[in-house]
Amino acid sequence: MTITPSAALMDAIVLAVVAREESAYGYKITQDIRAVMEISESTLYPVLRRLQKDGCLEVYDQEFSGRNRRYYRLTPRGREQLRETLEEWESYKDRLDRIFYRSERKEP
Amino acid sequence: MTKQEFMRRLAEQLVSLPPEERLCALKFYDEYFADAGEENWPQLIRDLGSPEEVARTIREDFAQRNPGYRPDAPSGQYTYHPGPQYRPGQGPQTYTTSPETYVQRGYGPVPPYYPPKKSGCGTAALVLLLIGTFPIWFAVLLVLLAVLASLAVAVVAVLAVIVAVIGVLIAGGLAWAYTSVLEVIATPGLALMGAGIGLAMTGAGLLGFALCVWVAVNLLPPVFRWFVDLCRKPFHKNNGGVQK
Repeated sequence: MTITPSAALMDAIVLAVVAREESAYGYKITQDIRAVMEISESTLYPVLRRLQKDGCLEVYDQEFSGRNRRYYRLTPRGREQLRETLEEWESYKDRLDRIFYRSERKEP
Repeated sequence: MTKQEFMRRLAEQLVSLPPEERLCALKFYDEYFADAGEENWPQLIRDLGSPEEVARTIREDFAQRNPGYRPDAPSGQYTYHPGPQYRPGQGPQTYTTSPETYVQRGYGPVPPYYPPKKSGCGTAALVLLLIGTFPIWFAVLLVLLAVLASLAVAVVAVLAVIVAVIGVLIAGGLAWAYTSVLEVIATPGLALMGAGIGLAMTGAGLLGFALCVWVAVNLLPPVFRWFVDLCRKPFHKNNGGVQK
């Protein structure tokens, strides 16, 4: 794999997966991301912890088959950061597409 | 490697973290194993890699959020000090999980936890240092003051001499010219010469006075500014660096 996400992009990927998921927990989030891209199993924890400390994610514990499970959900701040990164991503993708596919499309 | 061994080695590698951080990471991987299902553990342990490597990423992330922490600290040595981003309300002091649960979960013995040093120590040490080195810096201060005072006296003396010379030239010149003119009938030649010399002295005095005024107006302000800048420099190191 030649393209690897930067730290900021990885943050956005995790935020997007958590936002999409009804009840997101560590293993599920990792598997969701691993379904579309190669990341090691140990990548996720530091990202989740950082996002939590930055106030983008909040956690809550709920019982699941006789044990506790930690769930993650987006805070308003996390939603805002995801929106900002998506905007930046759109414009970045647009510019690269113009180089890759030689589209002569004018900027809107 | 079994799950138990993985968790034990991971716990060992995280002892330099505050208990809250350590337990949060261990809880995450504990749940991760549980959610993966026991039949997948051998594969999961292979995918995760060495617990030492996993722990390193956790420590490095913590170090990024806490500048006082060294992620490469050997296990068992606690080097965490609260950095500027550290918020005491969320810190290890408020953590309620007792060491017993740590052992019950099978993560091995709990390493000792040393609370972060109080920030007041730094100021106290500085004050002690200042008191201890009093004879040295007081002597240096006295010498500096003496040098400055003698410099000031020298400058004042030079200025006084200049003023006196100019005053004598103008007043003396005028007086000589006046007294010489009084003798114009008795000795006309001497009187004319005396008046000439006297007026020349007065002229030289006036020239010196004009020169002093010009120096005071044009040269002193830049020199004064330079001196002020020189005094300021030690307190504003950044400015000097930027200008270069």
